Amino acid sequence: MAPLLEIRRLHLDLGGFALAEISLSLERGDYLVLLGPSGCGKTTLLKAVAGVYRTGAGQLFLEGEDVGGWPPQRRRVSYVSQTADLFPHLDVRGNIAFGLRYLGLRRTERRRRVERMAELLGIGSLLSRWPATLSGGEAKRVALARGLVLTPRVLLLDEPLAGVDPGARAAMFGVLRMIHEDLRTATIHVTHDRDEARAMGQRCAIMRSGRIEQVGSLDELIAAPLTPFVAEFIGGAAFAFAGGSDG
Amino acid sequence: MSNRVRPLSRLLVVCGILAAHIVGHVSLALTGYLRGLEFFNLLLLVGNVAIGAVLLRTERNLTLGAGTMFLVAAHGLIGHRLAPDALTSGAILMVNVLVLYVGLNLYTRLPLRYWLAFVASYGALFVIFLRLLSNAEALFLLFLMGLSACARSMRLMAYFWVITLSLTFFQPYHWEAMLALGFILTAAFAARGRVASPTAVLFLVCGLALVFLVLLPVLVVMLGEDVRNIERVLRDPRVRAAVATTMKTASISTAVLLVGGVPLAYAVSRLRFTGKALVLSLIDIPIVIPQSVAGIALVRVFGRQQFIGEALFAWFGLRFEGTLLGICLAQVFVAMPFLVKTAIAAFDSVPEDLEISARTLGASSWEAFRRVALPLAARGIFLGAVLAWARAAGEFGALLFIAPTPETAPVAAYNRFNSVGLVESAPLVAALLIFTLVMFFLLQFVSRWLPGARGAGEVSFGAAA
Repeated sequence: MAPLLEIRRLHLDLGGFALAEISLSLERGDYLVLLGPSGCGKTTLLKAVAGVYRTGAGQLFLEGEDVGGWPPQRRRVSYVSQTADLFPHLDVRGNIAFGLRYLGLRRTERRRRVERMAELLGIGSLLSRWPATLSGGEAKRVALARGLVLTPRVLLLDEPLAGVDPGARAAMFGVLRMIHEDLRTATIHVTHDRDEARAMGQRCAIMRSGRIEQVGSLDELIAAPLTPFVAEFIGGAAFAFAGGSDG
Repeated sequence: MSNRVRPLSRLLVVCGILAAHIVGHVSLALTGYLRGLEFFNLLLLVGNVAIGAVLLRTERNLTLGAGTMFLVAAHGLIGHRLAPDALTSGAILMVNVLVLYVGLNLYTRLPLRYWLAFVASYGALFVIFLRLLSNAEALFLLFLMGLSACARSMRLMAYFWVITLSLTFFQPYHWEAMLALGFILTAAFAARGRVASPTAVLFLVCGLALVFLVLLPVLVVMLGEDVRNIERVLRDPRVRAAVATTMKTASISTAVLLVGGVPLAYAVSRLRFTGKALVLSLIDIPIVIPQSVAGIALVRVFGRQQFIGEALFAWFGLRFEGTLLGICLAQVFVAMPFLVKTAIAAFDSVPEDLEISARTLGASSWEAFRRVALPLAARGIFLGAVLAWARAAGEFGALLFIAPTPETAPVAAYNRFNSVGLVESAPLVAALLIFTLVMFFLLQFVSRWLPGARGAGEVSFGAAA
């Protein structure tokens, strides 16, 4: 069977910034952490997968279909942006339910799914709040619920822990693990934080200025870095105290 | 301060002042300036001695007491001679005692600037009422009492001066001036920034002075007219027809602009394309060119015996000159920038990231526009529509050329002015002004119910994480 997501030698030119030779694959239930310094193109890659940008050369396969030319709404890939980007004119319930109407579900079914997803992510009490009144962590969870409720093929998380205050970080970690273990949604998690990658990741892809340097488990990356950049980036001081991996 | 003067020196000071008084009285009597045993002279002397006794026996404020004594004496010398009768003289004396009391209180209890403002105000009132206006001594006393009542608060002083200046310099528009100036002051006092900035408040006052220029004629026309006259004008069938025509044509023009302008604004806001700068400038053209030029240009294209105008008539039976269609055409022309520009700004304020989110959640580009961009821009677009409506309803110059009939409200005002003159046309002008303002504020008020970002007041969209 074809992998869930396969990217073959993808190019994307945004004028001034470009992705080059991106190759990556993702199986069902995978959790891939995309790690790299700020401005290396992580978000751009996610948006390309989501269909926001028109890609250049190369192919993008979802379950064996070449979706490179598809508009975002056909791909069934949920992209949760770094800033949550909740719709300020809709309450939390309306935000989570936003995409459900495009799945052709009946009203009662939509309502049921929204409530179940909200319970799952622990935001059941926020359903009638307005986005402007939410904290950073709450907004992130609502955005996550909004994407996850559509049962996407791939979940794209852009810095899901940025803007979450330290107290809520542990809870957010818990939510992300739970999604991965209970729902088995294939996920790409973008971060610039090595500790975050270490806490979440089984597989890691290291990115640098528009290219993927190396893909592998954290142990592999630490033991056998392919480039000096990977060695330096992954093996910095943060790992001096690391005793083994979580995977 | 003076309360802490030791008893002995206090005695010396009071006795010194009293002695000076008595010497003064006696010498004035000897030189013949005052008659020695004149009742008033004796009264002043007795009064001063009494005040001196009070000062000695109690712990009263020494300065205040001495000041009162000198004031009473000076009044006896000057005021009594100038005042026409004893009643006036007494009134002047009472008010002067009040002023002195207030002045000393300000001096001892509040920062020096209150006292300085009080003294300066006294001087200004003196100049205004006794030098610039004639026979205004009674008014001077009245305003002095007002000033004394307001002196403890800088704000009250400011309002006091608004009233005083309105009543003296802005006759006969004192009510209008009072309202406008009072509004400016209230706004300035209520102004609060996140950081206290006197500069910004000063700018506000200066800027509002400019707004005052707009407000004054409006208030003069509105308040200066008898309600019965306005009512009579509103009963006039010709006026009613003009107002109805205005409502109808302005609404149609705004609807046309909404249908055509909102999509254009969205496209301009979201896309980059060759000639975008040119398109933006073209949208501004109706603001830039004179209305009469616009009217003539429209006649040149759509008028009789013009190629396009004749063609439209021949094919569709459309006439523009002197018809409702022509009115709408001119209104759309002049009001277009108001709607389109506001709508562009409204769409610009909706972050594109929100639409990207909508797209990845399964919405097509049309759905993203309909469910995200449009609702979030709705308030801005509506305000643009209100501006466009007001502009269309107020259009006059271009209409004069392409469709002077049927009369719209502005054309009716012009015709009335030309036929019967300034005074006779005033009720109509007032009625039209009230009508326009009521519509304008009503529509703006409605915009509060439109959807938009909800929650903690005015919140910028897509709050940064």
